[in-house]
Amino acid sequence: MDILLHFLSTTGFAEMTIGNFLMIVIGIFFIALAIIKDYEPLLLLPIGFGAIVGNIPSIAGMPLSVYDEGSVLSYIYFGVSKGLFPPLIFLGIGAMTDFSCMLSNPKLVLLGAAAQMGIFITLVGAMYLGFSPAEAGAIGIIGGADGPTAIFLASKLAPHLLGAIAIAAYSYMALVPVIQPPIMKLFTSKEERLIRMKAPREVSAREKVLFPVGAFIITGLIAPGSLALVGMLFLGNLLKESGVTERLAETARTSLIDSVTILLGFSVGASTQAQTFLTPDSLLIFGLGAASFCVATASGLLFAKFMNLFLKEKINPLVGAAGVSAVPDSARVVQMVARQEDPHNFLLMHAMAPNVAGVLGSAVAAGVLWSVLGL
Amino acid sequence: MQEMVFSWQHVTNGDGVALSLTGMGIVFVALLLVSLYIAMLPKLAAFCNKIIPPSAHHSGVEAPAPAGPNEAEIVAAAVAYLHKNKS
Repeated sequence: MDILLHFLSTTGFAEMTIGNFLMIVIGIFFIALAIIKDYEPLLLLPIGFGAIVGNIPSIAGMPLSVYDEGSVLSYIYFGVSKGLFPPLIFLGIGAMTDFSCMLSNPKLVLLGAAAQMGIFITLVGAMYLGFSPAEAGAIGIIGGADGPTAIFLASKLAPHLLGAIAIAAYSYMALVPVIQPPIMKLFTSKEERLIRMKAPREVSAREKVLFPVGAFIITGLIAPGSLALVGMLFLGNLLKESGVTERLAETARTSLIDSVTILLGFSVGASTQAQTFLTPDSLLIFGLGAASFCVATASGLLFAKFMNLFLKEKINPLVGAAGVSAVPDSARVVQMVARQEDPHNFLLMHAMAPNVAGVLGSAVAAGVLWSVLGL
Repeated sequence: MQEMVFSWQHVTNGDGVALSLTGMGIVFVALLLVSLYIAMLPKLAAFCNKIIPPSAHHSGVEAPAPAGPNEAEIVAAAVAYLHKNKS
């Protein structure tokens, strides 16, 4: 009987708190969103399941959770806490990204820069709310709408906020089709949404090979803090475009990125233990993240309208919203909103240009923030 | 975060506005330079093609078009010639 009673005292039921229960419900909600609504299933499903795993109370004295030294989960979480997984994800993204749309219309790159305003405006907002500059930088990067970049920077600047920042970043990435359309309609007129853009030009294979090398040297020299992210992004792209390393590119864009995505999503989810996650700070981070994302979308749209003041061939301002780097979801949303006005207007390829430029822009922004705030 | 006090003083103490403007400026400059580099790429690619012509065995790089007629064209020309001079 004593053995049974002792065993019962070590079960999860005995240590379960309301916070743990709430986080398990949130985990189930994420899984439901992924399966039923198809919102970012590759991420929300492992994160949701990880949240359930992370909120089963541990047995005192046994290393089980991601925060317990020597536990199996802590070794998986090592890739998140030390910023190892994000560059590997970037390698895969580089190997699957075709930069042709951006190479055929270089002025659209600036929209990717404009959308990064969300990061820096939110940084000020977070400091106003009492976060330290380093914490504010890590929170602001949510506006880049780039999960791996947000995790990378949070692990460097504010590791204690990593769980909340990662969950906020991935949640808003999943909610791109919900958050962006109202902002896009608010900041553009019907006439602007009807603008058609010229078909992109053909880009030669030689240009595609030269691009990653030159662009890496430029961005790497300007923001060395972004070397790991940008370096892996362009290495992946060079593997794809060189034509001589197809096997490596194939591995990077399939097996490697899939494996890392599973480990990253699961361990980020498992890091959301109620005791560390359900705090007033997390609520503020979610609020600031939403604001950051909205500001980023609006900045891209408004900058596209500003560019139109000087351009003979007008650009559809909707493509500015794709400057947030949720690839390719925000580009798809641009296409969806444009087709609501004109079913024959195809903006997807044009929107992919600021979209991939946004990936680059948010990585550079992360590098800048790390070099300025992390030293 | 140590305390939940909302104050503009936090922003001024941490040079928040200067940090924000500088950060935005650097990202813009970086992507502007990338944009200029992309605009130069067609010329740069043409220059590279002169120095190192694209080789056929690199599947990702386009091979130069064959200079003369191919075998099928030669056969077609021969057949046309024979047909014309049959009589």
